[in-house]
Amino acid sequence: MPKEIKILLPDFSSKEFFDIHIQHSRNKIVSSYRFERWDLEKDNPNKLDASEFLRNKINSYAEDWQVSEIFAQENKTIPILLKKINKA
Amino acid sequence: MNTIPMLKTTGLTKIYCNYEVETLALQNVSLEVKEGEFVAIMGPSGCGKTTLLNILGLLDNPSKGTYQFTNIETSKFKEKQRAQLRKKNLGYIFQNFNLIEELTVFENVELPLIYMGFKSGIRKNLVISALKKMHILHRKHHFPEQLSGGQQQRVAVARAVVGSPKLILADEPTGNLDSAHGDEVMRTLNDLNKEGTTIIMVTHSQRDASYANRILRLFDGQIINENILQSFSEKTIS
Repeated sequence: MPKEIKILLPDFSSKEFFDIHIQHSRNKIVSSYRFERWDLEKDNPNKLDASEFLRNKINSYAEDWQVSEIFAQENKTIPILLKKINKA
Repeated sequence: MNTIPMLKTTGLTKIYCNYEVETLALQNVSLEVKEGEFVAIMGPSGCGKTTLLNILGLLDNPSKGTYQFTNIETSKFKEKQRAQLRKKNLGYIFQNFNLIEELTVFENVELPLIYMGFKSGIRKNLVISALKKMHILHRKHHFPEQLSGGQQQRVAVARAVVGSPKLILADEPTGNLDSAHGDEVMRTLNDLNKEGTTIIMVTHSQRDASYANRILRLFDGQIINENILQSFSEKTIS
C-alpha cells in the first residue's frame, strides 16, 4: 500500500516554489513533486475566472509535470501540487 | 475494459436557489465514464464534487444539461423514475456509512433487495454471500453501533453491492476511517472494480485516488483537469 504523510513547509510567496524529491534507500528517486502558488491577480493579466485561469496554467505548464492536487483558494492564490512524470 | 460509455453528461449545470441568492454549484460539466472504469473525482472543499456525484447517482437532477445513464436520458426524470433506475443499477457508499441504527447488519444489507422485489429465500442467500465477501458475516445479528467504523463501512459496502449494481458511487468512503480500515475498504473497491463493477469515487485522498484509472479534478464547479493513471502494480518500487 502507498503511504500518505503530511509535512510542513515554510511560508513562501507566489514567486517561489518547493521541489520535493522522494528518494528510496537504494538511492533511486521514486518521484518528485513541486508545490507552488498561482496568483489569481499577478499571474492573470487577462482577468480570467479562476477555473479558466487554472486550466490555462495547467495546459501551458512544462509537459513533464502533471497536477497532483489543487487546494482551496487562499486569498488571491491557489496552492498547487504537481508531480513529475517519470518517462520510461 | 469495455469502451461503451456507461454514462455521459453534456453541459451539466446545477444552480441552487436560496431566497434571492443563486449558487452555481456545477458549470457546464461534460464527461463520459465507460463500463469497468474506476474514476476518482478530486478538488478542494466546495468545488462541486458531491453535487456531481449526486446527479450521476440519480439522487438529484441538473438545472441544465443532459445526463445519459446506460443510454437513457435522465435529466428531466421525476423522482419516481430516478428511483426505479437507481434501485436496479446503482450502489452507494457514504463517508458516514448511513446505516440504519435500528436494523441489524443483516437487515441493513437486505433492505435494497426488498425494494428490488426479491423473495425472502433469495434475499437471504444474497445477503449472506455479500456479508461473507466483506468478511463481516459473523456480525450479521449485531447493530451498527456495536461495530467499529471499519466494520460499519464493510457493511455499507455489502449493502451497496448486494444487488449487483452496474455502478458504485462512493463519497469519501474512507473519510471517517483510520488508515488501516481505509486501506481495507479501498482494497475491497479495487477488487470489485477488477470483477467488472464501474466505480466513481469522490475523495480528498491522493492515496485513495491512486486506486483509480482516471482522476477528474474539479474547481469552482468545472472540470479543469484529467489524468489517466498507471495501473496500481506499476506504481510500486521495483
